[in-house]
Amino acid sequence: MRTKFLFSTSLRGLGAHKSRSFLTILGIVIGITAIILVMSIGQGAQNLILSQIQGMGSKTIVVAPGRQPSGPSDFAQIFSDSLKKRDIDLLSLKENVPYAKHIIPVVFGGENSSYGDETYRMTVFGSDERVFDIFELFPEAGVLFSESEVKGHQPVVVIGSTVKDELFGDSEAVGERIRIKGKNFRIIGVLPKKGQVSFFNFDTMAVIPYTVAQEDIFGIKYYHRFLIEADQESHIDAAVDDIKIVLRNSHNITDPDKDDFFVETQADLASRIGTITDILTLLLVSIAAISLVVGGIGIMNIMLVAVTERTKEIGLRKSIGATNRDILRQFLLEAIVLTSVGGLVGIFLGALFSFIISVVLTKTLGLSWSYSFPVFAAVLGIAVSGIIGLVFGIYPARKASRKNPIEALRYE
Amino acid sequence: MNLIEVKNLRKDYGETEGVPALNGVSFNISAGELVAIMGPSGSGKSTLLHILGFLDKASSGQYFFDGKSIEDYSEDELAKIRNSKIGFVFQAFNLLARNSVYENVKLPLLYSSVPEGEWDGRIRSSIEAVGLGHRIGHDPAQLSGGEKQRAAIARALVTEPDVIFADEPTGNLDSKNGEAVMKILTNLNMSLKHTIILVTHEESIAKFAGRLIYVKDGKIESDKKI
Ligand SMILES: Nc1ncnc2c1ncn2[C@@H]1O[C@H](COP(=O)(O)OP(=O)(O)O)[C@@H](O)[C@H]1O
Ligand SMILES: [Mg+2]
Repeated sequence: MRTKFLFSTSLRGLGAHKSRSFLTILGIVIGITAIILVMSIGQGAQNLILSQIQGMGSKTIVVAPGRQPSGPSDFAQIFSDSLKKRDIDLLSLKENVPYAKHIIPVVFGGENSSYGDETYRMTVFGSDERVFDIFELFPEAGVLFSESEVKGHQPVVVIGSTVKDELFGDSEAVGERIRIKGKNFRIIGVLPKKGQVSFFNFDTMAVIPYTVAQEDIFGIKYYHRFLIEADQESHIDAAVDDIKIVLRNSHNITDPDKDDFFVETQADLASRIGTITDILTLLLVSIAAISLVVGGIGIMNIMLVAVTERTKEIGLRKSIGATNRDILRQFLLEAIVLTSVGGLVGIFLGALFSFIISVVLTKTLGLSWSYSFPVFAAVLGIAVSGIIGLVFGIYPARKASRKNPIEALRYE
Repeated sequence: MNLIEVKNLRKDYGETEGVPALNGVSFNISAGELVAIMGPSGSGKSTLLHILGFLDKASSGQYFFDGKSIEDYSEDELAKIRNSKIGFVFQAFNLLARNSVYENVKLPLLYSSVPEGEWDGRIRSSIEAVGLGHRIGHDPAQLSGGEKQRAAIARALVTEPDVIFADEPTGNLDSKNGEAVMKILTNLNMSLKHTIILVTHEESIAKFAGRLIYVKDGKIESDKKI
């Protein structure tokens, strides 16, 4: 039979039982809706996290001690002391890493701070004056520290907005002194509320000169991170290669597998986070897929009923010249049309719900959540629902096509 | 040449031990004949008609259609012959519900190789030939029994088959409607030269035929021209 008439024949078959057809596809609708929803929200979350990473500046390269973490909970590098002053000096030589503009040392750790009776556990972040540029930090009150205070080991501190609120409430903080690990620090500036930037939340931090942090707070001679800014984005890869060569020479490493440091770019971070959200999305999608299987079984069931109900019709069609293949295709197409309609409705509902969720998240939580229609998920949804029709429709359709015309016509 | 030639047809349904539904049936039918097959209930008339109409296969014996043994046809070729060379009219009409007379008559064309441009003309002239022009858009549920059977005959005609098989076409009709249906069939045979083979157990119907084959217990008891 010509495809055109195959379609109208199948649609007619379905039209005869509109409410039954509708109920049958609910399982598919729910499954596809869930998948679109999960994929859309996963994409939104990923975009949100990536936009926050980009807050660090796309030209920043991070050097960390230890080996590359194998997963999000691998903290091995924290305990390594491989990044030394000597490394900064070598990395700073123009002939070693020509594309490096700044090499900024960082040390950090959790510490208690106190002001009068108030105490607060915060993150002490020791670096130099250039870190404020990299993270685009400007003081809300007071000033930031400068090169001379870093070089001069001055006990000054710039505190984040949460630290300020916890210790001072509404009163003035600039000019006051807080105690960190038994040492007095003079507050010279307060940062505005900024939220998470890359892996750092400056709201709960106290930024002090790294010289003071190494000597008086942590009592260490090494560094926890180097932040290296490349002069151009296109030079990042070359700079990373140079940095690795310099550090391997400096640490006497010949086998790259034995590196006691690792270098990460914004792109690496983004892809690592992308992997994590992808895995989570996949997990949720697999759960949603179960309802598709349930929906598929529903389709198979209703198609078996339809084949039995229409035994006489099948017998008649065969007696006037329909081949087995004609009958097979007619019932298979009915199943595929059913599931595809379910898929389309599911895509529409999934897109609608995820749009509503994005509006709610933006309005109530103030997240810069951007809604994007998951085109890939939509295409996948159509394909998957069609395939479900095919897989679960083939058995009833085969059953229909193999009926003997005489016996089928005699069926009451 | 014979349009239909059967030799020693036997049909065993398996379940009924020892008593075959057809037990050695042989005859020839030429193009243009109107043949009535008669016999008591259970004598094997429907079985014979189904085999002749390619809806079923004999257990043994030979069947030549248009000079060619049906053993030589594949499953798909048999479907094609059912579509293009024969038309079947059933006692129970077997019209598709919720489809108009027009749609029902169109059905065989969907499976045919007749060019689409010819469809409308063929459908309309088939429906006119059985006198149902005024019912063309009606559903089967809106038709009388006689009208249903006329629609079914129009459906059998639409592919312009070589032969029309009718299994007790008047069995579900009162005598007046039965007579009208028979008039249509005889008219098709006489004026349009359609070969028609029909099963009936009513003498009044058989008198329209030019030849009468009498079947009993799966065998031909008599075969005579009238
Ligand atoms: N599908 C079948 N399975 C088993 N036996 C059948 C079947 N069809 C017909 N028969 C038997 O074959 C014999 C002939 O039946 P049938 O050809 O329908 O007779 P008629 O049409 O003359 O009344 C009967 O005994 C009937 O019971
Ligand atoms: Mg019978």
